[in-house]
Amino acid sequence: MRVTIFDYGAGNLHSLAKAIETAGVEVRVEEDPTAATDTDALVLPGVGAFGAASGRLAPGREPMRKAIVDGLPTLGICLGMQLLFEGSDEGAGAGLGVIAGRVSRLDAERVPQIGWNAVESPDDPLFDAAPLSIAYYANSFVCRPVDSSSVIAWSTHEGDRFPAAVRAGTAVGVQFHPEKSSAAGVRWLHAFLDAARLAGRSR
Amino acid sequence: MIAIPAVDLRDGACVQLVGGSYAKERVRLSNPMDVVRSWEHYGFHRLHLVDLDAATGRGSNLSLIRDMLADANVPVQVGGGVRSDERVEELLASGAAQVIVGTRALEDRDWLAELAQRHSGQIIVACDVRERRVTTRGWAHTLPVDILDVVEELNELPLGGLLVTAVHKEGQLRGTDLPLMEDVAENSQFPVYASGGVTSMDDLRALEHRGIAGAVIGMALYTGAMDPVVVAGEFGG
Repeated sequence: MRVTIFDYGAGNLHSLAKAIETAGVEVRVEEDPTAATDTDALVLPGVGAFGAASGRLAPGREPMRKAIVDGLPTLGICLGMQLLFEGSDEGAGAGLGVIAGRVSRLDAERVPQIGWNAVESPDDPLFDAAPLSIAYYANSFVCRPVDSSSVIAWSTHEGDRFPAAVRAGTAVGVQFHPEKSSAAGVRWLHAFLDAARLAGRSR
Repeated sequence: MIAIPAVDLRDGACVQLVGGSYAKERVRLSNPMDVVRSWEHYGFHRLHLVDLDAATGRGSNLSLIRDMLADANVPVQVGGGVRSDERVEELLASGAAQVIVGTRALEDRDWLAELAQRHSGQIIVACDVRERRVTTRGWAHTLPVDILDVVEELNELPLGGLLVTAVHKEGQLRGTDLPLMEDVAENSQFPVYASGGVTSMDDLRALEHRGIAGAVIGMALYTGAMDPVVVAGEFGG
């Protein structure tokens, strides 16, 4: 199986690439948003800021949106999750709009939240396959879906309850960093890849 | 990434050592409680508190640490000579957000595994590194172990993080060991905190770019080499 990490050019992707490679899959880092969709699974990584990432996404936004809506298994991590939404208060530009809603700042005194926090009320086969009760977060902004039925896990920072994970079809977004959430986090990441492999067979 | 001021305690005072050497004390502030309030005032939202006396078996600043934890308004990670369950429980009960364990954690992996499982996300392992080798016991004793081998072993545990101190860079105001920090961040499945030699905003930006979760800053903040207002403005969290 081929896994592609879409590179917004904002930071180091080695840690994520290594965590994916340990699942025994082929990993490619791709800067072109259209070319990035020629893959069996797409990963939108969690480094950088919304405005800049949206700019890099813009030339291939529509093909990528269509590929995801048509069933390309996609995992958005942190900023990558936020790009699944329509837009963000963090910066200008459009997200993919796969999930209705916007991204706004955590309603908290301490931002970014950097550290371990809970993964509450998980309700998705991925969390059945690889249970995860806490995970590592590093974010100032969170997703606010219009319809909370897309939310498959929650978390809370200083009283602000926000989606820890969302799903729309075969696209999953997580606000936490599974690749930095110890062995349990990496197992969860591998559970996503397993599901992507199965989805690919039935496509 | 966030910047975390270091508050190192020795004989009840807040000090800074050069290169981790007890003979080379460069900064001494007699009231650590005021130091904590001052960092909070500048806008830092996380603090790093270490009992140097406990780390080297010279003594203990525990009662002072309890008072400081009770007084602090931001999450504090506390370490230095933490070698028993009792001390871990005591520090967490006193209000420490995370407890940093060093020597025993590295020499007794069963103890660390049990501790990390019991306090998921709250245990930070400190690795003092000289070049690429892990050192323990207050920097006096060097274990012939490569830091990346240690990272590999620790990846299985639900750690709050790994604090990597580049001892050979510490307190010298000559920058951090970027290749070391990059390698550790790339290979670890937990957040990495970097310490030792952070001297400029460029150091901080470079560490952030390499995926470091937090940078502990000591000497540069205490000597004025870095302006705390500027540091907290960009990295205060």
